[in-house]
Amino acid sequence: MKVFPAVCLLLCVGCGSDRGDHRGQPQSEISGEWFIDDSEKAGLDFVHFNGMTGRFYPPESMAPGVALLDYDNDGDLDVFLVQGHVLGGHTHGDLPLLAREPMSPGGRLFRNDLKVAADGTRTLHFTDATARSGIDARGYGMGVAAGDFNNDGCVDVYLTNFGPNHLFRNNCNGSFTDVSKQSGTADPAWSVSASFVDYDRDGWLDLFVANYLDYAVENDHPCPSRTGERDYCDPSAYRPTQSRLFHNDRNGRFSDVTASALVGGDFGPALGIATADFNGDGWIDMYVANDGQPNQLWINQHDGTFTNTALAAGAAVNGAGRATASMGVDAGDFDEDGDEDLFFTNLTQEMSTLFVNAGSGVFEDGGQNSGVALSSRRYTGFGTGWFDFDNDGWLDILSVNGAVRRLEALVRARDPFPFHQKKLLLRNVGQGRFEDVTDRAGTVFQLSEVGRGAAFGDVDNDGDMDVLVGNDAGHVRLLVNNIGNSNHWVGVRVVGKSTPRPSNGSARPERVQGRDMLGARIAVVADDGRTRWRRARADGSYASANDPRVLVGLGRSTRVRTVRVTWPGGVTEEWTAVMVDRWTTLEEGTGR
Amino acid sequence: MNHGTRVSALVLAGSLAALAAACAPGNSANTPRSRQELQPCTLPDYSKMEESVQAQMRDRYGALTSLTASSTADAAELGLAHGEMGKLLMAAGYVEAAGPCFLNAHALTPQEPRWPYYLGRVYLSKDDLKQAAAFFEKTLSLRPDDEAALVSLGSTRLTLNEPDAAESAFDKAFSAHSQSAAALAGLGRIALARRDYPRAVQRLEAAASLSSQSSVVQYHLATAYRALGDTVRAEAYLKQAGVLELLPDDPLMRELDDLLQSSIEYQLRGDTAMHESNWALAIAHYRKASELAPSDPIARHKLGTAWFFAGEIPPAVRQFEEALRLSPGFAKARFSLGLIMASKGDMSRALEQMATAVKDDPGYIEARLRLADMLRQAGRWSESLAQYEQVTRLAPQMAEGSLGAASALIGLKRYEEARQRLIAGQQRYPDRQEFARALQRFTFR
Repeated sequence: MKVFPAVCLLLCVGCGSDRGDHRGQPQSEISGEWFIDDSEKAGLDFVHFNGMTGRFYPPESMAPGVALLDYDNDGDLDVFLVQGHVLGGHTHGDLPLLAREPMSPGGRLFRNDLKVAADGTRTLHFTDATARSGIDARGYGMGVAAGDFNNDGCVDVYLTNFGPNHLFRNNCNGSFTDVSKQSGTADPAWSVSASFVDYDRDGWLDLFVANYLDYAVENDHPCPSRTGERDYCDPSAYRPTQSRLFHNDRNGRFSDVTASALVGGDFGPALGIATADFNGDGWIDMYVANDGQPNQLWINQHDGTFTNTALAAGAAVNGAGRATASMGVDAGDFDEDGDEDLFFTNLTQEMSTLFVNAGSGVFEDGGQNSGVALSSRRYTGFGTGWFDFDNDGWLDILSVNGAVRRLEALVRARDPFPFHQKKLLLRNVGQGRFEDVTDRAGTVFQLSEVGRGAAFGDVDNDGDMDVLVGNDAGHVRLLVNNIGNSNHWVGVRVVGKSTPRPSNGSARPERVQGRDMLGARIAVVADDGRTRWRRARADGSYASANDPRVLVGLGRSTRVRTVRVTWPGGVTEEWTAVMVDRWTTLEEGTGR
Repeated sequence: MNHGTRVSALVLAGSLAALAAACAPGNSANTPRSRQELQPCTLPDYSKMEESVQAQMRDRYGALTSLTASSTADAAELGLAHGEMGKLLMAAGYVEAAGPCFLNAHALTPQEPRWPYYLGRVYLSKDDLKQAAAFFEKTLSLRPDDEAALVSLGSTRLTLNEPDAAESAFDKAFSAHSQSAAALAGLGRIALARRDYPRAVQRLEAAASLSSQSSVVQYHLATAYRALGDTVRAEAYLKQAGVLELLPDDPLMRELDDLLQSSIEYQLRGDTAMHESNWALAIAHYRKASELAPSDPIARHKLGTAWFFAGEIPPAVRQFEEALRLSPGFAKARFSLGLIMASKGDMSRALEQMATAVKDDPGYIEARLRLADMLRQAGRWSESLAQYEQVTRLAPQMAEGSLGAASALIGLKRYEEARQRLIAGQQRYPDRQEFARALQRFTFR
């Protein structure tokens, strides 16, 4: 169990780089690549294996998700990567098409052994800690959610699978215990994304599981193209299966409250989930992205139930009136008007969707006017997120991409896995507009891969957002940001109240650190007078778990006037002495 | 050209320099000076295509090869052969492969409006919207009133965020075709994009009035009315909204729909015929689909369904049974057989088929609901209750599960539980009056 002294209520846990200070420089003047793939150098030795044997089983094209989480509470982000295997069993001569099966099957946990030298130089190194962790994740992995469901100050891991899901409870000593069955969360459906969310404000994280299709290998049927050639099926070939909302019973168990909580029971083939307070009433809502069917906007009714208002709110289908493929999704205030907007990725030619929140949970499709739609038209997007990669204070967008049906040009080139596409980086230039800066972002952005999961976080604690990318049948990528800390920033980790540690006679410190308060709303007022709004969240993107901390770019501002935190329980507190270019922990109950 | 030269297996017109620029729309010198300037019109690897489609590819490619090798073929013939090859490739979904063929056709017969239209479609698929727009404009220079080209141009310009140019195209389409719902819908979308909501309403209402179908126009109308603060109308249109686009009549693209001789294409044609309640045509298409893919249980099931709707039960049963022979776990065929047996009053075998369908596919809600109904009708209350409970769990959005469960509870004389179930259903499905009616009956009990 992670404990810390009660006196340490406001704690600087990391510091910005002391490399030559070029903050405030226009990004065009920053030399070098904006992002560099450091996965290999840092020891993230992982290749996703989808088990494809030419039978085109749908799950093969839908994974993997990735996670950034600090499972050992040492202040840096560790990594969890999901893994696949051959589906349907091997038959004679039926070997995987792309790669050998991995020597170590199942999902992998990598511990971050970040070293910061006296001169501020950072060295990332990851160590495979799977065996020591006790995590045995041999299901056909799809995604990861991370959250401390039992309030012991250590983040737990929920793995979504094609098959029963797994909940691993963190024992706070580097190991985990599989509590899937006793917790009641071993949902057997094909799940993709999941989110830990305290929807009833009781201080305990509940769990939403986004389920996709009612598909079993035994019921697989071929989905020929117009010419009779086999390809992956369109989702309409199978029925959607109901997503699940699990209420945390505060005793290690969850109750399935789907039927009573989601009034009307609407569902579709869900791939993504983002939680935020979309109508500004102080209660957390849920947005569910469905593949090819209308999305749901579940508005919290403050009594343990939700009403789906998506259609009336203009958030069910895009501005053209079409239900799109809606894979990855994220909520964020990109236009700095204090409400949370939505971005989600779609199929090639459908164009990604930007829903601009009018302030009361009613949305307008802003894709066309923002430039987002046209820039994304050629991509099938999956993992995505709002992140301010250059710390100018405006939320930008990354999507990792890869087709779901064979791409003609690649088929003609006899590519063995003809689905790969480049990533897309869109920079927020203000005034509600975005520019495509992919070609300026570095050589890693020129790689064409089958991108699926993407997790956002400051992996090297240097004050800018890095990105972990999961590629289907490909290498994991760690996109280390080299441009963000050219501007000033403030980083906050918001945690719940520390509690007395149950006495066991040991000499360990007397208080247990509160957990990351997912759902907390943070307003940062800088000396430029601007208020930047962010939310502590680990969900969003596609099948992935993000850094729960909040990093706010300040541009050239060198001082923060106030940091205001509205806790999930509804109370707002304020801090005035938060340092810039530092990570700071803010504990509930210690502000003004 | 040396006519004695043999063409390679995949590349027509020899290994000649591709001069795409020469064929670009607007280029006055877009007729190739010689056949050497044609682009390679190549076939994709078709070895994994259905045999019937492979034959089509071989035949058409062979015709083109022969013509190319012939010294007597003129530009019109050669252009047509390239264009037809492009059409087949495009119908097969090989849009990039179709592009050079259409470019050649366009270069050889620059006065023919079909080829630039197809090229516009090719470039739309390739996400080169500017080229697409240029080819639609080229089509319009040859056939100024072409509704499909005008609407396609308008839509492309709208996607390019060029509302003025889009409006001009939709305006021309509407001037030339006063009944063009697609043109009016386009004009409505432009007004919406400009936040000119009264005009959007005017145009979209006009578009909706020209089409009897539910479409995305109703969604746009809801958006416009919501912006105008008329939530009642907005709500009403939201309820009517459909997923169909209002598209112009497009004979050139329709031609492609009928081109490919594959099982899946015949199934799609059969689906369209079913949608139009043209059972005889649906039977013909599905029969062809089954002939082309004799081991496909889905085609058999569709053929059986078409026979059933045509009122011909014995051939329907034969097809469902054949589907099951091909795929014993094919629950849809079991379900269909169960329905037929129930309609004949053979409840015991019907129940057996439904139970097997549910066992083979536990998430098959329609089958489970029908099984529950049959069990209830047979007075097997407990078993029916269990099935209704499963329906509620698997498909909580369906009120039928709750209604059925209440009914089964009444059969079991568990009246208070039934009443509670109806009250809960009434709260959960406020639009379903059946709960209130059933509760009313309860008060008289």
